[in-house]
Amino acid sequence: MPGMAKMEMAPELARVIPEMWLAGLVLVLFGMGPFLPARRKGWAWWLALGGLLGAFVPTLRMLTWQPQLGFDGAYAVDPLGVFFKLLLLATTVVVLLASRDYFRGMPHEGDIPGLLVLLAGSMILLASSNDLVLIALFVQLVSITSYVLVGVWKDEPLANEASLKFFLFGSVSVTVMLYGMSLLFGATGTLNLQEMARRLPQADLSIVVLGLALTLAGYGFKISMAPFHVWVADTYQGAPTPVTALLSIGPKAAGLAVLLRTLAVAVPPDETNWPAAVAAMAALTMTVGNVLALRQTNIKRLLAYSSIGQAGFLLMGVAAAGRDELSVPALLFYLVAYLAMNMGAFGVATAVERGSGSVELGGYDGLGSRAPWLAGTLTLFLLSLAGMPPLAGFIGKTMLFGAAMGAGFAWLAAVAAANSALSLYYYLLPIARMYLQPPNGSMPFRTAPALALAIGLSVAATVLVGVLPEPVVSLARSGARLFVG
Amino acid sequence: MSGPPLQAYLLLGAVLFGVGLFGVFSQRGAVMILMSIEIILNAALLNLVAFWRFSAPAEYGAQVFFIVMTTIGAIEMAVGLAIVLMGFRNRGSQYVDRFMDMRG
Repeated sequence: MPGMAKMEMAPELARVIPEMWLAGLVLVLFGMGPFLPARRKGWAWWLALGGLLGAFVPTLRMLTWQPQLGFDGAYAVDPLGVFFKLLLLATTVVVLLASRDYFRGMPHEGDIPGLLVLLAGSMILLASSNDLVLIALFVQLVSITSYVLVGVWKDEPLANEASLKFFLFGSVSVTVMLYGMSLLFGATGTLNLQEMARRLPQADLSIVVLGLALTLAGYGFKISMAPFHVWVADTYQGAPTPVTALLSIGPKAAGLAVLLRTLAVAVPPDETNWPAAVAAMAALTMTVGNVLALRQTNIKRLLAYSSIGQAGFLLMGVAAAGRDELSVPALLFYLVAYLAMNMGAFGVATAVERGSGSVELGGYDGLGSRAPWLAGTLTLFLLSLAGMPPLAGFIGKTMLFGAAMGAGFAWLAAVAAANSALSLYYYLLPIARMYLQPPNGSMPFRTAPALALAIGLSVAATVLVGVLPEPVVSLARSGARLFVG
Repeated sequence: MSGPPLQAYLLLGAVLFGVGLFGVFSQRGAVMILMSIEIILNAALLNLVAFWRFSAPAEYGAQVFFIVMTTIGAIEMAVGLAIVLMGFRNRGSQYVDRFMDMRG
């Protein structure tokens, strides 16, 4: 294998070129963004966009590399990590597009691109961490950057409340996670995931299970897994809408990656029976999210609870992966579909908020006649989230249900099907209001070009992934290999 | 090895963890909650150092873990205090039950 030979000779730092590129970009943006004159703040945005697109080049080259470890076994360079690098870069690019006009002329406009790139970099690092030190460090880095992004409008009371709740809940969960990690270290005497897998059979099982359960608090906070989801609705409501869009996809994806990596690499499924535990959490998470979404009247809160429900579906993939490795592609495929449809829904929410100044469902009355394009695309995204064929969400849900059945979680697939039916109600609610209610204003909407591009990309991805799933399926298959050791 | 045994450190760590968690759930002032979070962090770090000293003295990763987490804990508290301070400016209070505009 020629790629492999070349790579072995390459210095260790060559394995983290995308990460180093993003880190350099953050330093430049933080040095530049806050000091640009008010009329030139857009330069930071353009630089961030160019830099993020540039990061795709070294990342795409890594697609053919063999799974391997770097930095004394602490950092994994494997197809799973590369898949998440691409996914998270794409997420951040689309969020950056959607945020261009939302933040224009607002306070801290020049700081936002740097913070978004920092969040992208730390999520990418988290998804490939293979050592408890790095996992804890990057969970913290993702969290702290998110707290700042949520509260970036310092004088906005709702944003302030959102970031305070986010911070208090997040730092408690993450600190509890650290306590759990100290127990895992005590039981096994190592912080490396591969080494831990080797030593776990001799370790005291009760300490290991307690340590794992406490560690799950931190991971669950990132994924918004019940019962660690209580911050989600308030934080999503109070945060600037493009930031909400990023939070609903990026940290969840990175958290799922690190959950999958930790459990699949370090913990043998037979002794601890973690697949069953994750399956129970998945069922709880999707039920809680969908039931609470039923009575929401604010589009951001509705999408917040919907994202908890979707997190439950994604956790189903992790649970199935514990019993059957063929389930990982289903999880990765659904993440791509979720990125497209959820990003699109938040993009339309951003556009309507800019146009009508409302995030309440009442602001969507008669949108079908006021802004037919926005209404049509939002309908598409909501139907895809609900799992309607022939859209991306349908294929993704089918693959996840199949994975759960294949792994022997038939009951979980049944719970998921019931939840899908339940979710139809609140996904159809805004659609009904858009087309059946009389409009409450006649002002036409003007959607900014960058935001329109973000929504357009999401539409294209939602439809194309649904109609022609093959390329994404093969990408998910090739990304499903992780360095187990 | 002289001095208290491993169990003594672990017991102190568990007590600190309990005290911190109780504080998080019982305190109303945001600053007191921040202090309780610090107590949980101390419990985790004490555990880590005790385990390193007694059961895996060759694993220097634990020392790195300690240093990294102390540093990032300080950064986290800096951000947290900034958020609490902004809340105090907006609402004239640091009590968390004043931050209840969003519900449902």
